Amino acid sequence: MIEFKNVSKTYEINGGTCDALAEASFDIKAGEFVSVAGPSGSGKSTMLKMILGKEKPTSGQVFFKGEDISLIPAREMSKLRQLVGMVFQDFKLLPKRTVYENIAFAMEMVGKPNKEIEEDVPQVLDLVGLADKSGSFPYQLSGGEKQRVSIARALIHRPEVILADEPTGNLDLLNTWDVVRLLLKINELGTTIILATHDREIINNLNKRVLTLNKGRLIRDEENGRYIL
Amino acid sequence: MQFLTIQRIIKAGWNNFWRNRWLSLATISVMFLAIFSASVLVLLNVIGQNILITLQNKVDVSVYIKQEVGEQEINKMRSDLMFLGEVKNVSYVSSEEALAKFKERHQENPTLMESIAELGNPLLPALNIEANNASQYDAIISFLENGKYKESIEKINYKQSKPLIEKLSNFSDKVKRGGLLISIILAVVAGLVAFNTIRLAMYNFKNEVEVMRLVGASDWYIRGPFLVEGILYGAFAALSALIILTPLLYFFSPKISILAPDSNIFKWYTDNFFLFFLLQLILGIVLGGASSIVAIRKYLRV
Repeated sequence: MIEFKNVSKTYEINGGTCDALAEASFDIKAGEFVSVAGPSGSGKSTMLKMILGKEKPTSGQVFFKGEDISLIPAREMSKLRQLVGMVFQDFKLLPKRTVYENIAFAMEMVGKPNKEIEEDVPQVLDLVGLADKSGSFPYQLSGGEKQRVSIARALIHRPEVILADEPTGNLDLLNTWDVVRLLLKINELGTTIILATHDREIINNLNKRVLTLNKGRLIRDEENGRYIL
Repeated sequence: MQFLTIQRIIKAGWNNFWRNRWLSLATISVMFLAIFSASVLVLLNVIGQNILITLQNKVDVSVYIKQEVGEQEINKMRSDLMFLGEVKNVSYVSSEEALAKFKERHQENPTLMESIAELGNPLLPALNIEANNASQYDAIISFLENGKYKESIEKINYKQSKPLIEKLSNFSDKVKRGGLLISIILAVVAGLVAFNTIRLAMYNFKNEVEVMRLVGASDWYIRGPFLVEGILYGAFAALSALIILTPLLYFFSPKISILAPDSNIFKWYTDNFFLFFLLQLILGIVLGGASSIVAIRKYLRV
């Protein structure tokens, strides 16, 4: 479903260059749960941003369902993003909207009728365990709750793949496992999950496929992998 | 775009507007000042025009006609003058009328009265000419001095009023040009201030725009609510300008009338009320809407 072909990304910093990703090639099949491991600055976020079309590769190609993402015009980009749900380390919720509205927003913009929104949002809130927080604003929630809202939002329009960029980076241990369990549950329901994390504990306990990155290079790609550097 | 989408955009815009009431209020105040000062400038121009027209109406040129010229000839002269494009009105004052007026004016001066009684009527019949515009008197005078009526004319009092007429005509041109320039400058300043205020207000939403973008909202779905918000700012600012301006004019109109007796600014305002409000509203909406679009454009490039 997702394919990287010799993808490199080079940033220019103060006249010098910095390789965020160097000649990475791999593919991810529909329904997989893939962890992307590596220390901070190893290129995990860059990789996810490319799938979302936020960054373009300096060389090489990224395909989503056979389509070269860098060839999608900016105007059409929102269509790609509606097929891809993204969960961020800093949640990226809309601060002036309630939990309900934050989630409904993802459905509204694809033009879903009100009736469907009124049915689906409570269901998803139930799934992430926030049925009683529907009317709260983001500042009234704890970190773990915010992340669950963010996952609910990524989930609501039934995307084919969910990208989670350090979703547990701001959370304590208990909330971290809540989020990971939630992602596993969503994966069981058929959605492809790509989880980027530098958390050794999570990777070692998941027993799923692991892509290990170091300094922009893909150094390991293992089924049932562990975090080894 | 579907009706449902438009409905949602309007609702989101209204929510933004209402949930950030303080920010909205601050923005509206600045836009109110812009619209209010533009309105005041328009009104000042109207008042200025009225004062000038009043002054111009006070200036006329009297043509004194020789005693021996018959009334028929004078009437012909009058109708010929009326035929000129520059002439607004010509009134005829016969020597008897002139004498009556003179007597009335000086009845408390016995010396003058006595000498008038002795002399008979020394006053000449006159034509008082009013031009449409103070600068046109020259043309009218030259028509009289060089035309067929040259012989019938004793004296034209233009020379005495000429400096006044010229000054007035000069002044009126300057006021028109200066007023326009000042109005334009102030309007631009007010517009820029309002624009910057909206830009700062939108800066708060920078992150929000990025989030919307990343969860897959289309350009118009992001821009729409901000546009609605900008339009709301403008509409409310126009409305407040109207609410403040109306009583102000009601109270100050009589005072302005002292300065320019022929002008009733409040009447002018009520006569043009809807047009005036419409213009304020359009100014507000265009200013608010355009500022929002320009301000948000920068953050849409994610």
